[in-house]
Amino acid sequence: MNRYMLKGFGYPFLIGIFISFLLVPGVYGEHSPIGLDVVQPHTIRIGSFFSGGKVTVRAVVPYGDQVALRIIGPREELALMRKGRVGGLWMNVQQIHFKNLPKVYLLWTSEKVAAMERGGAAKATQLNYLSILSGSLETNNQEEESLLLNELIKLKEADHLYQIFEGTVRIKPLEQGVWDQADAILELPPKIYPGSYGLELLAFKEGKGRLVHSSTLEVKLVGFPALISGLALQKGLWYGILAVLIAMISGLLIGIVFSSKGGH
Amino acid sequence: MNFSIYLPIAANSVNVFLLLGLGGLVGFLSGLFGVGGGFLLTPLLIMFGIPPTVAAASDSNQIVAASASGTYAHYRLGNVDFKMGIVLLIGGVIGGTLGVQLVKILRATGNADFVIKITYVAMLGIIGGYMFMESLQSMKKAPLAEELSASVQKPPSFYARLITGLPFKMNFEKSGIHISFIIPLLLGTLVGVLAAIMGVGGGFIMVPIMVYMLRMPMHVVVGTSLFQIFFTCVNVTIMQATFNHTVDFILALILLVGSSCGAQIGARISKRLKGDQIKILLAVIILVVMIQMLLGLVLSPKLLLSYKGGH
Repeated sequence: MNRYMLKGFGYPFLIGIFISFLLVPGVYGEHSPIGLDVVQPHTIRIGSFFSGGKVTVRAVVPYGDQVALRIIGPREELALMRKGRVGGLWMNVQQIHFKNLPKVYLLWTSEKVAAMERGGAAKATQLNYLSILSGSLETNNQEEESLLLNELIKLKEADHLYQIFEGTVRIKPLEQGVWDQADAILELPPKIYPGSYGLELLAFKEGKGRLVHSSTLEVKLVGFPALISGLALQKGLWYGILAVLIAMISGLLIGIVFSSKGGH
Repeated sequence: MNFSIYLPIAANSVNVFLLLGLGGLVGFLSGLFGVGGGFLLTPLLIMFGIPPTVAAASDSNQIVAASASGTYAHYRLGNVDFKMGIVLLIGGVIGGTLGVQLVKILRATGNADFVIKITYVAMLGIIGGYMFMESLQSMKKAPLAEELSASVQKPPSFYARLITGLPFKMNFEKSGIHISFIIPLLLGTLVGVLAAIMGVGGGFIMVPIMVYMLRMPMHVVVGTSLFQIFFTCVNVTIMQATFNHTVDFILALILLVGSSCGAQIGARISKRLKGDQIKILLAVIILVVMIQMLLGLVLSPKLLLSYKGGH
């Protein structure tokens, strides 16, 4: 009996089971819920009263995975000045060129980065600063490269443009033993530049990471700052004349209001 | 509630009350002592995260407002020597233009911040030190001004021979002096260069120059200085906006509101206080700012890398 069944229905039977398996929702097929469920807002607007932005993110990941969310700014070439001592005074002594450098690197994780990467993550899913910056400085001197990259990181961290927030992604079970839900509020610094940013969701299990979702987050100047910035950069002369006229009128008006005789 | 305001050229967000407070504090000192506040305001802005070149350029913009109202008030009192002011102004425009180009070159070479800071250290040291000494002398009943005026009488110094020996003499009736116009032209140029580099109106340099080098009467000095500073800062603001794109108008506007109000309060309080004690206090403030900047040049920096041109 069993032998007949296998002979007569064996291959179609197995293919049928495989197709059914793919059609079951909630498994690693086209109906998998893995990814970013909520990203709010998609565009950060820098207006007159901007003091940093907030993006609310909700993601679904396989049960038991650790989660990393990161925002990576557009890559740029950057020339920085290196300070050195000349005649007892600290001054700029050398220009250092970095290439393919992310303007911004912000990372939020559910666990310590070192713990998440303990299995030796592939380059594309490495999270630490040095992996992101590798190859940005052309030098054969390892010690020099390490020093300058660490100084670069300190400089960017001082501006809050490079930041790592460990343990800030909250994970809770969504479907016991199958899915987890990850929630985070991504706070963007006041100094963030207008532009298009990459938003990535990475999941880690046993030290191995994989990119689960990738999308973009737009940051743009709006309203008065956009007007002022556009005018200052594109029509500098007229901007200067306007700035002088408004300052002059304001000064005279305030002087009249207070019956001022001015400073100096 | 969010009290931050975004400064599009400085590319940073700063608390609006902090800016009003900074402007108000410097305006208060300005009103109290009758000196310009730019030499204090620019380093304070740098301390609070405004890039140095933006701080300097925007400060020039806000001084346009203060000097406009001051010049108008002194014109009505008849305290402006327009002839002297115009010669100083021509020098100031030449100096300002040279200074802006100098800043542009320094930014390209990455030395703008260093030059701004070292110029500040030197100027704050000289002015602060002088004020401190003058106040001490005054408290000991031996005013430095008297010593200086006495030393001016000692004939004939190199400078005195230079003044009398130069051609193209002009009569400046309002100031009551008869000298070659080359002297105020060169001095105006010097102040213009410093104004462009430091982002100040030049009042705290121009006033001693007029009193001790051009020997003008004090009541004409303030009005004429303001007249010259107004046009110098107009020129510096337009040049910085055109070539360096470093004028943050929003920053300047908030500062001028704060400084104009602060100046009024300071001027009223100054009438009730003893001059020497207040002057020595200002000298200490100036010297503290100078020492803070000097330490920045002498002590090991926290970071070995910095952005070019202060950005």
